[in-house]
Amino acid sequence: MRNISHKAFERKFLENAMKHAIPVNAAFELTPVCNLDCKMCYVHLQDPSIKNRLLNGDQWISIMDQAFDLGMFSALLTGGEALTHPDFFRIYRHLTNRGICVTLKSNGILLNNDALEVFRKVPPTTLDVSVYGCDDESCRAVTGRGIFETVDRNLRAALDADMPLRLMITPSVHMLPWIERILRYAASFGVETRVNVYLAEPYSNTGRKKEDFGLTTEQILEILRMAEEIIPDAGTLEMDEEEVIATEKFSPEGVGEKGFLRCAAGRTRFSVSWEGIMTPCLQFPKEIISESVLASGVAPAWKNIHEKTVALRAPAKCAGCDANDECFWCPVKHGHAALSGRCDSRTCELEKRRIMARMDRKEEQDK
Amino acid sequence: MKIKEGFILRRIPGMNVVMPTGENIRRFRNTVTLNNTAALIFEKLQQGESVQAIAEDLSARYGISTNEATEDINSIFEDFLEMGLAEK
Repeated sequence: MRNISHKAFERKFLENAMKHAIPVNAAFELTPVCNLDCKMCYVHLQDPSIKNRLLNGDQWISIMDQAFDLGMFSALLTGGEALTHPDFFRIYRHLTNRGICVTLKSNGILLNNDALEVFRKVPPTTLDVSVYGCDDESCRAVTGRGIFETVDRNLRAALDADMPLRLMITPSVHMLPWIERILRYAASFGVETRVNVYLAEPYSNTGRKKEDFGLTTEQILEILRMAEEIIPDAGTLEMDEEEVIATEKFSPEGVGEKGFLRCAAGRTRFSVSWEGIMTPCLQFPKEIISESVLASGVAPAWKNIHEKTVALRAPAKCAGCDANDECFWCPVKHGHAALSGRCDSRTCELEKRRIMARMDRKEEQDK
Repeated sequence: MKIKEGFILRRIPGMNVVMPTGENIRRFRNTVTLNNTAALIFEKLQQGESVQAIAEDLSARYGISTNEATEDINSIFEDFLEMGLAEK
């Protein structure tokens, strides 16, 4: 019998879940509706009739209970803006009453006193809040609204309430003029901050295109360099825990010959979209692997998702690539090219540069 | 001997894990993993079974005397107490 920290538990737990193909982590995209209109958002839909097509609380709870029966331990609630879902708090309470670790991803606007009151009593495992700007002007440029004061006030209240706050910055061309100030602003909270430089290709029904807001490799690398300097432990160059475990445990053909999807997606993790479509992870292209949980139920959908994920191979060209030892072919990162089983050359370039930067730093540290 | 309110035992292949539920999440930040025997005892205590009944069950399952089983239960219960999972 052991009483262990969450961090140590997570590692042991993920290893075990990978071994037994248990979907311990699930993401639920409760709604595509949002109170912002971010120019780089891959999911937000503005059609007002969408509100009538959302899965209701009972439907979500049924899906989540089925996931619980399969071994789900943690749930990410996201959107759109998850807090705009009419049954959000009922869903939240249901999950926490069953002992599920809940991470809420939010833009922070609705993180008001009422919401904090609920979270004070039953705190989420992580409260992930996106930082879009360092003042009204920068927020407006990215999200279409001058929301800085509201979000800043809510973030400080969340911190005062001892919430497990984590900040997320998603740079795009619209954020560029303010990026250094935004990084410094986020760092001033002294909480874990992540910089997500892999922008997903928006769903086709959003009308948005990544080419309209994506960054060049040089811009991304400069942001990563800046982030490492400004935010202690940003870890933007490092592999995450799932990647490390997958590397250690699941390279049956050897590192040099790897060609699998090697993260936790489809192995210990799945995602369900607002329409009830399961994919191996959030943002995973539905065209490659997806199943309807409404049509078949969660267990059969997971079985198919897992089998298809395990069978998925990286493009053959990866085997001859110099970066193959360290690189992970990820359909989310490769966007449209992944749909036809190819690599996106810009993503490859970024990955190679990121790996080189990581190795240079390691060499420096070893000296 | 009883398990406190606000915990759930989750059994998945390869692991038995006790998680806090509801408002207990605020108070109990850690996660407890149990071996199969401890998980069985936890489960039966949570269901309100007496130590005697649990000892008889363990005795039948593992071919040990009820005295030995009772000692094991007491020892594991002390661990539960220390971890804040149980109360006398």
